[in-house]
Amino acid sequence: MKSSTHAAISVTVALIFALTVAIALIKLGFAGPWVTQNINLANMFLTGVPVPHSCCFSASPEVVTSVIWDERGIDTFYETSVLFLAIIGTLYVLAGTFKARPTPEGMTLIVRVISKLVAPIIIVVSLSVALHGHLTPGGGFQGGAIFAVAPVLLLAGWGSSKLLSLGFERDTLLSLRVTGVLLIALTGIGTLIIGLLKGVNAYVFLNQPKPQAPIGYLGWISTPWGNIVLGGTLILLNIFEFLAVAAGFTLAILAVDSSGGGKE
Amino acid sequence: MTLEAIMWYYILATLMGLGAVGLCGMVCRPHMIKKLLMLTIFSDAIELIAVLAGYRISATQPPVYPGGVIQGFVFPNPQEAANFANSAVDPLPQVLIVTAIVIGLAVLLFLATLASQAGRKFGTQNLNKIEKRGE
Amino acid sequence: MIHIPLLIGSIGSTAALIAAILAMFEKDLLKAIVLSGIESIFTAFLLVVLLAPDLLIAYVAVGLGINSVILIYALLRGERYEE
Repeated sequence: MKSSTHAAISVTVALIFALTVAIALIKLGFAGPWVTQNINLANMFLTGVPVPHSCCFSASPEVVTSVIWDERGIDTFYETSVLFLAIIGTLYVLAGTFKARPTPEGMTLIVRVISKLVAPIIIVVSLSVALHGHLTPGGGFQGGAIFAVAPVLLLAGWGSSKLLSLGFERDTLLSLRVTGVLLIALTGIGTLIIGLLKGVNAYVFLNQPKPQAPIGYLGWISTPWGNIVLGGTLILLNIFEFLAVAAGFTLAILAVDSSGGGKE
Repeated sequence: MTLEAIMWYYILATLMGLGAVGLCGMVCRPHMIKKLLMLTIFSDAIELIAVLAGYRISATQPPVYPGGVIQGFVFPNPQEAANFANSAVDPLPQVLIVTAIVIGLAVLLFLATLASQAGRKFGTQNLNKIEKRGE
Repeated sequence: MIHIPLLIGSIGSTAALIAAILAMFEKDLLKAIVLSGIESIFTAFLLVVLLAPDLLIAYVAVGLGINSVILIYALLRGERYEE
């Protein structure tokens, strides 16, 4: 078959699929230019997540992060596992092509100085985004993705010898990655273990106490100067997810770099 | 039909066109890296269509309750939360897509290393040339 | 009174479509990667307009930075020009 036939078929299939989805969404009233109210499930989360004693209280004003780690926490844990397996697969495919010595070459003085100045700022921004994930937009995934830009800059400017001298060894990063995923799982089943020991009902990835499950994590600390919001599991899971994503992407980029650029 | 409705439908149509371009490029371009490039464009289009489905024209703020500070945050009462829900967009499509972006990056990393190893094995990443070698 | 965010969104989606079409018909792969980066910029504009700050923070780092770098690394093994 000619390539133009392929193009015509694929465009037709894509347009039919997209039109079907769009018409279904618009006809059912979920989307469209005239919609003035959110759907009921969205309104339940928007009115429930920041309000104490409601159905889905998460002790956090950030609805998106709350739904990611509280209502669909086990789903997010398995997505983290997918990420873990993809990076393990990357390392497996590249195995046997690693160079023995690190690449010594770098770029000119301007690139070196600028990358050395900008990389710490990127790391601080990523930490801020991850640690305030339960208060402002951001979270573990976003912080980890921002962190991965700093090793790319340092690799471009200085070569991988600089990263190795800073302590970004392959084994260290792999163990950090495994630690992150393991701690996410432990945080998820923590309430279950405590519930078994105390003999009360509990769920996996439970954040705040529910009417059926009277135990939960520490949501906020009351001080005379106001509440210090912790968000229960949200801050813990954000930190662990940041560890996992940042170490995983740094590991993968380091592996791709040290497998050797250029043709043999 | 108002001007806002026309612009909403126009954005939907261009995003569907973006997805069609991505799928077409994935199918009919022979170079592996071009296929991966078009895969990223296709996933961008799908993500944007999902976010557009959760958007309302009358909404004025993202689904984050305002005033998130480390110390001194006051949890709202049900009336304030209802007012907030009336002016915020739907959070559920965004929830589904935050993880999809990062997972998409990991999958792209895996596919790019596969393409890199194919280039090392065959000396080319053009699928037409690799097919001709086999004949 | 015109709705400013939707106007910016219309312009951004048009520019993203044009950049994607140019990237599809570009024979030089490095130029195509740069064009897909331009497409990512306009996608980020659309995410701002559609009120999704969480997605924006993840997308700016991923779509503009790491995707392009990974594809350039993968391209080092093959040939730069298509056909």
